[in-house]
Amino acid sequence: MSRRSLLLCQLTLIGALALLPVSVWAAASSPAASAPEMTLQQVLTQIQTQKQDQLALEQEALTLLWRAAVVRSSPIRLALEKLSNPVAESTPTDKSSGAKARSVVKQAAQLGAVTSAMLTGSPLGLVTGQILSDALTVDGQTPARIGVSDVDLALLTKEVEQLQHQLLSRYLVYRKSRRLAYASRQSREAAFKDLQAGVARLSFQLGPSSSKDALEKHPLFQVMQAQYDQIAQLEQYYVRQWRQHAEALMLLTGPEAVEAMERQVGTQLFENASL
Amino acid sequence: MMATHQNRLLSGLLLLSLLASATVAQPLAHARKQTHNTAQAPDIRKQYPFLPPEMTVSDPQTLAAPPSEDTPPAPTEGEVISLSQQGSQAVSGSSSVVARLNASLTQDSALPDKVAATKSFQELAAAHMAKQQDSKAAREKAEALDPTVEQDLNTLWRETLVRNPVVRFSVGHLTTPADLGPKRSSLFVSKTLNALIQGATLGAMMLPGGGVYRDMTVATVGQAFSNLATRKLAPQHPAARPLSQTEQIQLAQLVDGLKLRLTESYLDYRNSASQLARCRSQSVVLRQQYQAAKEKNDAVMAMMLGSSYHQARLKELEAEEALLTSEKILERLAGPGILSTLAFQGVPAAKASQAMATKAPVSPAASAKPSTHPGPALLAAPSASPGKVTPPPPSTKPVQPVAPMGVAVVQPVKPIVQTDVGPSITGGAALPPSLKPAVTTVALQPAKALKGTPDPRPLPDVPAVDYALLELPQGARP
Repeated sequence: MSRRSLLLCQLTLIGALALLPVSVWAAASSPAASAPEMTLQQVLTQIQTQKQDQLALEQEALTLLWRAAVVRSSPIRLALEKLSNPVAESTPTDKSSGAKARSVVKQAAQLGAVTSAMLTGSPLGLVTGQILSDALTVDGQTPARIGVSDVDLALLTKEVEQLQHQLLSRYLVYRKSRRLAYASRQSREAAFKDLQAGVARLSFQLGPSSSKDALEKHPLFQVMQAQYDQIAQLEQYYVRQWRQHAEALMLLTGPEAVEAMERQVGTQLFENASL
Repeated sequence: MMATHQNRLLSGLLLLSLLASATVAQPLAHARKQTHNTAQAPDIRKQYPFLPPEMTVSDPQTLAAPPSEDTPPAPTEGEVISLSQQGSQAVSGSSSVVARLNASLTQDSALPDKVAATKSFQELAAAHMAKQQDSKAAREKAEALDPTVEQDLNTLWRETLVRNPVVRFSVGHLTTPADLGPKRSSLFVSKTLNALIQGATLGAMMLPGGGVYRDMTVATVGQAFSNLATRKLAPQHPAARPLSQTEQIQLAQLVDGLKLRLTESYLDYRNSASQLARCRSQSVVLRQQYQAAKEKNDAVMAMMLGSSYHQARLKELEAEEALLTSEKILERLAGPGILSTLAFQGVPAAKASQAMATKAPVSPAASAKPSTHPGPALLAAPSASPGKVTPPPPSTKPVQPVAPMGVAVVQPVKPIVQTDVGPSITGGAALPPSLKPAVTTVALQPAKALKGTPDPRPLPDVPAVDYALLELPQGARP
């Protein structure tokens, strides 16, 4: 628990100290005063461009997470153990079967070979490809597909698919909260600077003879402070969300994988939201 | 003493009211009988067409209301008069006063009242009809939107079926007809066949005039036939085994789950795309206003506009993430290429481009692009490069990139949040972070020394703060 909180503190520090990238996503600003109606196509094109830039980074992050998740997933471990040794039920006392199953599960991370397909497609090269039989081959000699039927493969693939979906959706939620936490922190800092400038301007307008009390009771001061408080509350909310979703992701992959992901690609992937 | 007096008074009043009601009830019942006999309903309906149908003619107020003097003589006029007279006489004086008042009122404004009543009734009916037509039009409009959804979902599901091997496998196993699937015969038929073959074998062996070799041959052939009948020699491969019920249920669950996920994420995708478009255009406007206020050195206004801009920006980020999430899930199922060819993007985009064509100049390259199939064209289109890092052009004259659909003439906007955002009004002196700076420490710089140049462009949409409304001393205005 303390380790997780330490990690979260680290992440928070990373978020706070990161430089603001100069990328401008929304370069559109028309001289017209009214809101230009953005079309769906425009928005989707912008999203496409944005996605293309981050595709490699996301694949890296998801590979890290998936390797950790597939080894920890109990349904997949069970399925691999059963499939690798179909006669294990009849001879439960066989010592070699347990060792074999363990070595098979160690190789289950080979299922991570499908992470490139995780973003752009389904993981289901399993059925037609050699991935599963490679994973089930223990010592490179025993062909493993003897007892594995098509239905077994389909059901195992269903498990893999569900795990990937779960991991992907938790990752996406994590990414959302992480990006929003970072952006809200940026917003809060910018709003703080604006607040300083506004207060300075207000006190300048009030004149040098006015007291501090008069400044604080001024309606404009109060309005500015209320606006700043709103932004600060938003930041607190998003940071809380981020911690919650980080915990959810860690339940699936373990804290080490999330930590490694943050260390390797976190800054580039999550902190590109310009203001 | 007072209480007993009051009680007596109350009981007396009660008795009196009981008597009065008894005297009233008798003639009213009489009147009801008579109206039923004379059938007053059509006449009253002719006069007051707005009456609800459940209202009976025996209502004494209704009977007292029609003026019997000014209306043309109807065949039942005398009875009506007598009825109203009877009612008014029998009831106490106040009700006769009411009857007379009613009569005088209808005498004075009989025609306009009637006309107004019928008019309002007609108006009500017309309004009702219009409302129904409106709702019908709205329903038709909503139904006209539906085919896009259905079309897109069909496209996506077809693509999923083609791309996704497990779904293909499951659907194939679930929809295979019985004669194409693994052979299964009835136990009864096979046993009967077996018994017939064995009987025939025995009969053949019992035929006279045979030797041992013939019996052996017959037994072997019979055994072979019975093996064929009971399929004992069929290959028993585990992979060729037919699906059990549980496995079929599992596969059906898998397919149904994928279908549901596809539908949900498609609807999410659609909704969040339109929401993102709204949020983004809003935040663009707010950002402009924020920048303009900053350039005007209106720090108070800039703070307020900036906070609303930041909130809009966060909302926009949220919508963007929702769009990305649903898009990713859709891509995993149906493939990345199919999303840009979905039908729902075409309709509003075409409408919007038609609407905006009058406002903004459309570049020929953008107008030449087909809007129905935007997939590769949009990817190759020279967009405003939202995600990429674009250094601002070094020349003083800004290059105007062309938006893909030619909707808005875009200018490169320098990023707002920079290191020079800080208040230059304090002359570089950082304010204490307690949000309450001491007034005396603020250096009173003249307004000319402030950083930034004023914007020559008029900004009608940025509302200037009316300081007079906020009770600021006039001399302090910059």
